[in-house]
Amino acid sequence: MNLLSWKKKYSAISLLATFLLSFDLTAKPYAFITNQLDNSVSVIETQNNKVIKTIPVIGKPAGVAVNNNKSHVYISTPDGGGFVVLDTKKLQQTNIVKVGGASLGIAVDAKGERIFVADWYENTVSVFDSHKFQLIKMIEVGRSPSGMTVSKDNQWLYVANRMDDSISQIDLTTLKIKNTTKVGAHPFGLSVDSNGTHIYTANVESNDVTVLQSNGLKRLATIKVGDRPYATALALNDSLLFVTNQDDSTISVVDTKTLKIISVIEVGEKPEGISTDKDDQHVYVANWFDSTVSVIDAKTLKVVDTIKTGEGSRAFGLFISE
Amino acid sequence: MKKVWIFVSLALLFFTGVSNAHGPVRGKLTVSISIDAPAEKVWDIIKDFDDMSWLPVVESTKADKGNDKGSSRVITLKDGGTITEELKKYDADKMSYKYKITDMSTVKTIQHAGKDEDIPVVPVENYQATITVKPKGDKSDVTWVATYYRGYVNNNPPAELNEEAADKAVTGIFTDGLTNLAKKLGDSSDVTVKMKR
Repeated sequence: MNLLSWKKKYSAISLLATFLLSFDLTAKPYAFITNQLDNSVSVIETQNNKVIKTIPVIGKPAGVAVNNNKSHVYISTPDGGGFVVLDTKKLQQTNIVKVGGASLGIAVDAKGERIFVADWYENTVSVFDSHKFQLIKMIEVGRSPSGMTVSKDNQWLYVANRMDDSISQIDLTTLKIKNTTKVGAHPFGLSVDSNGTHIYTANVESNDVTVLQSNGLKRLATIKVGDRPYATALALNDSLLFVTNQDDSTISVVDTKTLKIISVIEVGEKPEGISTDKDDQHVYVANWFDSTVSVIDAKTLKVVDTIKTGEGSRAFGLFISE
Repeated sequence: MKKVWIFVSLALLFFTGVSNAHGPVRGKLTVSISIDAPAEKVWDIIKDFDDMSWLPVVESTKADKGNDKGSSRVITLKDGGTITEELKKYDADKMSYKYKITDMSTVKTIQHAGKDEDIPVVPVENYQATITVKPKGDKSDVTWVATYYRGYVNNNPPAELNEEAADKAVTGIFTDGLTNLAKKLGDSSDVTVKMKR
């Protein structure tokens, strides 16, 4: 290799590095907050907690699922009978996908290839591909499926069957139910930890959280939380579980080792959707009644910011992008 | 009063029009009134959780722990119906309290979609409300906000348990309550109603 070609190569590499660096700087994490009563989605830049854009989305937007691989975010619209696709770079709506019924819970697989939409009335989970948004399969589940989440190894989809008081574990290879287990009354939101061993469900009617192990979907514990728990989020290496208590306007914080409540944090009125930022430390809570988002520092267990969003902030699902 | 009702019914018509064929969405109803009386005087009438005598449809109210958080009250209506409510938050300084319905008596049972459906006194689900008095110089503003779902959680609700029935019932109670509260203080103001769903 002569000096000239080396120089050429070097400058090409440095150009590429500069490009990648600048590219990386523009890819900031965003929190996508559905404002159900305003028919819009507030986009919060989590580095400075500012709403940088409000995107109109009709159909009473409720659920959120971020697809980092495809730079998409999927927003379920219970009133629009399906979901919409937002481009996370352009921050605008690109597609409307009809599902039928009342779509609420929404999730995406770990590779970003498949989208799962729960239908509250039809008792099904519809599976769509994320390329052309075509229906791959409809899976019969329990009554009023609501919250859904996928294990990081992309092997399992967990569905909360609200009216059946149960959780189903769906094999993502066969798209068939492997196990179904009873939990507390009316499970709604749920989380799975990063190594895929534990599942936590917020049970609205029994005011508790059920802890399940993924192997055999066995119940391990039940933890009493506040009034009408809605959804859950894990932070700090899965060491803490945060639970939104709708009717108490609080967050219960559970130590996932001891399974004890270590703190109860006051947030806005009617806290619902909850997600952890990519820093694994800041937890974002959508307050439906107050039309705000509370930001909690998981290390100090204090609210560090309150952000004004739109009316009826719900944000049900994993709503923060990478 | 007439004007208010025209507005309310138009609003209800609009909301039912758009809310028929979809999943239940929680509604947020705000009824407010401006009263020509000092806030302390207004608060004095409504401040006791075990006294709902300012609401015309109420016969009697009994609470087990007065104004303490967690106190449970049973409101007996003049027609015999009962509503049980739990005090969620009480703030005397801010002249405000928050409560939720925990139980209700049944008015009647209907047949719908092949099943018995109980129609409660107020046809709502997961109802919570906050009433607040705010001073405005020598006058005061009273705001009563309720959040609730329609009484029927499944698809295609019967007329007795749809959004229109829920909104009509709560709007009626709040309007009667607040106009009567004003009347007790010699004011004949009308309420403002704002519904969001």
